[in-house]
Amino acid sequence: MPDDISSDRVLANARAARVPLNPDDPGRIARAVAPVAARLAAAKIELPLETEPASFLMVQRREIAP
Amino acid sequence: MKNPADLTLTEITRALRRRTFSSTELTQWMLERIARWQGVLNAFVRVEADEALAAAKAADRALARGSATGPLHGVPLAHKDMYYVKGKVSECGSKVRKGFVAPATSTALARLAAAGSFRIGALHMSEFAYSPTGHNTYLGPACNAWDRRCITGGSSSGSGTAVAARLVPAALGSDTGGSIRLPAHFCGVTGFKPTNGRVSRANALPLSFTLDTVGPLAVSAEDAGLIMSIIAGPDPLDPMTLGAPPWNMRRTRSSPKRLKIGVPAKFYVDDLEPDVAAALEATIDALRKLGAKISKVELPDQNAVSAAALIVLAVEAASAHAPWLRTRASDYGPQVRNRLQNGLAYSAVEYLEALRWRGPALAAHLDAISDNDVIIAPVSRSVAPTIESTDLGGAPEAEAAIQAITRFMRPVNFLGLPSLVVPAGQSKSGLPIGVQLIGRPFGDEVLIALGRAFQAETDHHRRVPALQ
Repeated sequence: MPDDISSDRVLANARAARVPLNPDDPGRIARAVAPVAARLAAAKIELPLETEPASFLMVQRREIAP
Repeated sequence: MKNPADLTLTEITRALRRRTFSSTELTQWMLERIARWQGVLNAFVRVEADEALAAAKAADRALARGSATGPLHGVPLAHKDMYYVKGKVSECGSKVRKGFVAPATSTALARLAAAGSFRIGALHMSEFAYSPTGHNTYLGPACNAWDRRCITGGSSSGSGTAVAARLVPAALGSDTGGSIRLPAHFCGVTGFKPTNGRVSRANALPLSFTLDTVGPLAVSAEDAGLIMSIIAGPDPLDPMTLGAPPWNMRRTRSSPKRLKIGVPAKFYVDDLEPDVAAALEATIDALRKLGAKISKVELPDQNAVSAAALIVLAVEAASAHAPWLRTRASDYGPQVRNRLQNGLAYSAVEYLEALRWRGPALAAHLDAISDNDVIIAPVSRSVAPTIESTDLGGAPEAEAAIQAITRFMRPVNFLGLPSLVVPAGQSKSGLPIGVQLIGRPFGDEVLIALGRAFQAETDHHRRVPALQ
């Protein structure tokens, strides 16, 4: 995950989602979310190829396995 | 009539069955209290007086016939205005959904009704459940019953302040990023966020389908356990609930002796206000005296877990609201619109990497806490700030302020863990302080048992604001 997010990227994503933005919005959004992206990027997470969202349920339900 | 403000929900149900007072008397008392304090607290968005009184009279007649319907027979309740009742308006704190009439009843409310309770109205909430403060551009802010100048916390703002003021003995909230636990802390009530999958979300407003949970705010942990015993359990309308264990009421009465409680060595204990730190220490001491074994734990990087929660929430909320963001963006309050638009920033790959990490992150958490049953942590670094100081609207600094308020919340949501907030003290300024007890997956009943034992030895949860 990148640790920075540009206003150009926000604008491109919004266009792809067909959500109109005011001219100041892409910069404001980029500034708001960049610290979050940086925090996750700093963790340098590497996931096994086989990991999927539902893998969470397998871990969660180990706690109630008979 | 015994003053219902001095009673917990559990005690009220007993009083009704013993005919200490009737459901009609209780409902009239509550309606008078609501009428007196609504103008100060802004806790309700609708009061359904005539329907509630009719339901109360029917409950009294049924009790006289010996045909009580369930454990909440004759109890008036109100809930966050995001739980749908078929044919009733549910505006979800928004202008966008003004006049929305729900097509079906939420599973949680249907179960509470089947247990004998009825609705006395609907409660204030943050717009679309997407703010941790209780501000609402459309409805105005809900005000804290302990000090009307202060925030209630959100997004279950009305639930927090209504229970604190004893306008209702319990209320449902929802918790996607702290929305039950923050109002419980700021308003001095007990709040319970269950393990994801314990309570059906069907026909309740979604914000993030991965992180949303349904749970109660109440006077006591025993009350929260009573509500959970009614609303928890599998529901074909919510696939997350399938395979989750049934609620075990007996386990909620187990002894806390020999429970292992971990105290995080960092993150949750950094930069706390002195009053909050003192309440946390006092709670740890009280739990030790109850026989719990206390030790320090080193948790995985909570900043990364919190960031992953924010990304999942932002993208899922933006996706849910995309149709209205395209056509009705100006009908949102500026802060909620900004936050929804933030979700546009992330790519599909980034979102899915965060979501795929959820299982490994939970596994790492469980490894780190080892055989601890509970982790104890503060809810927020401070007591309730003022409405004025947090009224940031769409200002650039709003997102950072929101993240500061929710700092200790998001890891629990990302990992899908249960968490019970119990009132644990007051600041020198008289504002309440809560402490959260975070459990293992499906360890919900252990938390209720621990909360009950703690509240048997303390009276923080019994304190009622003076309402001046």
